[in-house]
Amino acid sequence: MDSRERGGQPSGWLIKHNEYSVVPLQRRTGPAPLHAAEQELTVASTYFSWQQGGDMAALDPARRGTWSFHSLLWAPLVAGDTAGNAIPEKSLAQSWEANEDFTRWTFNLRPEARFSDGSPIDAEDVALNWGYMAMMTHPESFGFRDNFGTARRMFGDIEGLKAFTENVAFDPFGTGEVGDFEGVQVIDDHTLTIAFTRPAENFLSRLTAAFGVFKPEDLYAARDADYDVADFWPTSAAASGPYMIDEAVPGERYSMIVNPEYFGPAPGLARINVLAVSEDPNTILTAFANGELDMVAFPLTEDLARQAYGDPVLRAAMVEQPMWQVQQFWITPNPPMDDENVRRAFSMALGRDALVSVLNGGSELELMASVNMHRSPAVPHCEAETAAVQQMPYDPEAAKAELAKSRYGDAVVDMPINLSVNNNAELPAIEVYAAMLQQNLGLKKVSVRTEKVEDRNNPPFPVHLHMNAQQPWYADLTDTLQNMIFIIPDEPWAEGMNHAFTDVPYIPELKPLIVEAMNSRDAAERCRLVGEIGQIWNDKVFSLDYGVPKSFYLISDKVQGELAFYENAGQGKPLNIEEWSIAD
Amino acid sequence: MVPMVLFITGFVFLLGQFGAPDLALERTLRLNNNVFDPEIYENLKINMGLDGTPIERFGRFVTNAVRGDFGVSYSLPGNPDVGRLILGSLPISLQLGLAALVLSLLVGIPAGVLSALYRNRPLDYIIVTLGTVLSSIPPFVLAPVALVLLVSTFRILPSTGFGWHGLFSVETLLPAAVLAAGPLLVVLRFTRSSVIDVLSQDYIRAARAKGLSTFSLVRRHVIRNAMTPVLSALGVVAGFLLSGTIFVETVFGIKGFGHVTVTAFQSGDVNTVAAATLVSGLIAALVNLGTDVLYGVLDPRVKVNA
Amino acid sequence: MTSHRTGSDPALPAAVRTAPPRSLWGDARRTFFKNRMGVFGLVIAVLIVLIAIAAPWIAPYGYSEQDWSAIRQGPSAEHWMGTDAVGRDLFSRVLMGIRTAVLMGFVVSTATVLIGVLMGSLGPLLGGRIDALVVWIMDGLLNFPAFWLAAFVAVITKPAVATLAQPMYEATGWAIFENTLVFDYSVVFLCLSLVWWAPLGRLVRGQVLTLREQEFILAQRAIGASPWWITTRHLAPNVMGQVIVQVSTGIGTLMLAESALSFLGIGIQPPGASLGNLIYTGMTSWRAEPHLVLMPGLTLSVIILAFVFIGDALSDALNPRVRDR
Repeated sequence: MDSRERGGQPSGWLIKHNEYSVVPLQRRTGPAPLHAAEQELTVASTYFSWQQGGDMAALDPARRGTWSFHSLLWAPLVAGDTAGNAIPEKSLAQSWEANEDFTRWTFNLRPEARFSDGSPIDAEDVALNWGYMAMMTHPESFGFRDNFGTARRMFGDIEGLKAFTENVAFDPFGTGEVGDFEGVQVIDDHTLTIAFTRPAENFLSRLTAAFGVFKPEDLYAARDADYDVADFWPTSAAASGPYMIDEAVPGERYSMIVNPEYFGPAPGLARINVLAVSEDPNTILTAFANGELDMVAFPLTEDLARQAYGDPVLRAAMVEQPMWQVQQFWITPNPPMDDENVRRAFSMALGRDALVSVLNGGSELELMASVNMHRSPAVPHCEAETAAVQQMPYDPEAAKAELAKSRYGDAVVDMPINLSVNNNAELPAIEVYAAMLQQNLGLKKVSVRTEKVEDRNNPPFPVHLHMNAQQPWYADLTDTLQNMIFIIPDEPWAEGMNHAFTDVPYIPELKPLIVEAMNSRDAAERCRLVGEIGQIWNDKVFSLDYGVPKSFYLISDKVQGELAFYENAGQGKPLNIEEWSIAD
Repeated sequence: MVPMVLFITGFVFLLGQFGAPDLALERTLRLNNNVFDPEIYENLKINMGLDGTPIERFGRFVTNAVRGDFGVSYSLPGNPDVGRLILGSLPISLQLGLAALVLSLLVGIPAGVLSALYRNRPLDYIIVTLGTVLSSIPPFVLAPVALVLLVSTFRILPSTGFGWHGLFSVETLLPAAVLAAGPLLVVLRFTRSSVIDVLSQDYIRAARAKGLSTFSLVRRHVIRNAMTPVLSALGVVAGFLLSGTIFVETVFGIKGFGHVTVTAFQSGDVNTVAAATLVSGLIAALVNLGTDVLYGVLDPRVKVNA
Repeated sequence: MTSHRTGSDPALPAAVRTAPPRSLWGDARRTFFKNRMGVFGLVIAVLIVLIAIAAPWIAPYGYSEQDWSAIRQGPSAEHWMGTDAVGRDLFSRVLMGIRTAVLMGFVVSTATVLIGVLMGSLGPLLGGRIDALVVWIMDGLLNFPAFWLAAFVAVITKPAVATLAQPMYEATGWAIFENTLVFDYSVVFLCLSLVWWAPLGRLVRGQVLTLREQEFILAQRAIGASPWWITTRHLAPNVMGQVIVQVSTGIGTLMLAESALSFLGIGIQPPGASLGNLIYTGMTSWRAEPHLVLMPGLTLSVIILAFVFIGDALSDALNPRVRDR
């Protein structure tokens, strides 16, 4: 099924962006809610995590839109739900249209829209906001304010963007000037056009995911004040969305109250407090059990979920959400892992069922599941082909035979094999692997470490398997492949950008297949290739398949309304938090 | 004093240069989509101060540190300036340390006095043993135990995972108490031996002969005279407090100096770690100097060798 | 060459005979054993050392033996301290942890004594510039909170040690260099020894300085006794008293420091067993499985306590100037 549907009617259909889908979790109705002014929600979120919104730096409007609380503060130009529908009453633009070939989009703003301080929101503000987004595509902005190429991916095809970033120095508080930036033109106070270097049919879906309107003067004020670039600027910015900041202690907490100047529908909650919590999740559970928190805005890890499940108070507040997170491994090219037979032996020596039951820790919750090919259910592509991929069977005898066939032969048994994980919570899994390897293959020197391996090109000790790698891409090809070959062609990556993930050092024959899949416009053909690539991957690499099929949020049962989240992992804010209410 | 603190920090920093991971390389790959580009690499090296021989880098470290420039943290998102990071976190830790100090004095001094008055009798043994036991429990064990018991099971105190609420809030009580456990024993012992010394002085015997009650005796003569040696304990106490904040802040989620340091330790953030160690050394040195001066002021018989 | 008759020589007339000479050590021993806490501490410490030596034989299960049907269980008859996340018996792991603690405690103590005594006596004996340098280094080290500095050294030198291992292995072919455990132990050993010798050094130096000027030393020199004689017969016994006290309390602090390093994740990592890293891994679930933190934690506390008691008692015993008790 092709991921793209043509739309193009003004204030109507958006292009479906298949990376996300909304899953309603629960609809709770209860006794009459508290008086409006008393409706206060206290949320725990984490600090220094780019996915969750506790850190005030996460309020930066250049952050990926719906993943943090900043979408409550900054109204989008066009609001949408990811079912593909626009929400006109929450959009700053009251109408929009594209030209014939989708190279120019025009937006007509609401004339009555105001910031929370009463000043009007006009097209020039929006244009300067685009300048700020452009600044976030500057090469030096990588990693800055947790920007990992989002802006480049989403908006790289706007005309003049690339030239702008090549000609200006990186200024974290900069927006350029209106007119610096030819892709974005101000026609009059309430009209704005955006031009693209190539047809951008899916622009609206990208827009809804990542763009909220802020007041440029607030940004400039921060440059003059003594802000560290890691702070959020400033702690009392004027808001354009349903909420505004009431009080803020950077690094610790901030509160939002209703913005009386908001042009859209009034929200249900009068006040939302966001706390950045202790890194000790047990403390969070304790606080929740004590009634000091109404919601924990990040999904509980398996370990925490298991603990919460064991406590009756917490169990009642657990809200299940379908999720997909695969435990990925980086198999290094260090000997003996560079030998195909060794890799197969390692795959066959691992009893996935035993591993899964250990990780589920005897709990009734199905926290881990054995899976075939890594594929997120939220990315509905090539289901038949990926289901057909055969994983390596669990067969210790065959594993030993494979090991003997390798070019290292019996010597492998005496070679040191170093497994590592990033943090303690992942340790049990890798300790079980180590035990299985020792038991089933007779390896004598398997060691396990908790070590944050920062520079994976030069780990401090020779690593053979490292868990939960984010980079390099080929850590788990199959999962990224799904997203890459279907989403990247839709996104305006910089021309000539080298897609390093096409290079899998120990299986060179995969590269032409991957490149072919990415360039193909025929969906059926792409799926066939994905299946083929997946099978080669499973046969020749390290096939260890287990994932986290569901996750849990903790939401106090006082909270009423339709609780809905994005289906992808780690969303910091539920979709419609402003529509919730608190019962007694 | 300051130069040697700086030198030692710098020397250790130098040691580390010999095996450090190549941050510039890692960053180049990140910026350039995993493709190595020599030009970006060289530029980054200069930007990050990673060019030149280890000795040159050591020299640069020292000269920059003297000016207060500790570089930028490469492990934290946004690469914040290390100096600001540390300076921003110090006030909280200082307040926590102060609270712990006050607690340890409030409990330690009376306990020490009592212990000395009832020397070698059961009360003495009980107090000293209790103090010893309490301070032998590592803070990272005491903290979760206290959390479980006081917050979770008995619900006496509110949970404390959410940062700093100010010096005089209820949430500060538990972390300060856990932090105070270590110095408590030191204060207790110093007070005890110093009071014992004072009690055996002639003028005390004279006062007793005059019929002065024990309580007034303590109040009027003992405390004042016994306190001076306790001052010298402050240096040791400061050391305990500094090391203790590392653990207490981690467990209680207080974003202070200790917390910043631990994050830096765990992520191998050399710049922050070096700066934090330097600052801790300076603080300790300052406290030592301060107590020396105070000692000289309070007891004119002592000649201060600055 | 006079014959050396002591006062208790039976050949002397009774009126002249005196009580047997009480040496410093005899006196100390007597005082020590009168101190109940000290004895208690000594008993525990001896027990701990015996356990440490016998650990592999008395442990009911292997310390890395995983039983996947017995995950995260509380204390029971089969598992006296319960099991951890992969079904390993906690009691066996705690025993191994004790082993590590004792090993590190004694080895590092020895190193600190060697370095401390060396540096402490070097200064006064050699005088001049060297003395100034030694004093400068010692004072510098003493200014830092010891643990902090040790942690700093550990973090900074760990990558260096690990990087060094590869070429060492290639040069010598010794398997020991491939062992990640060896890095951990080396790093901890290095950082603790480099930092912990300073208080001892200062103590020794102070003692040496004082004693050097004392009358009986001057008298010895006057009669022509050699510096070696003076050092071994007079300086050393007086200094050693203090050193012993310092070291015995120090062992407890060292064990604590090692656990603290592991707790922060910069000390000994799995598969090495350390009480500190047992606590560290237990911390992820202290709420639901407190035994994973409490058991190693209490064990550690008891060990430290024992050594603190010993140190206190020794201090009373060896330091006649302290008036109480």
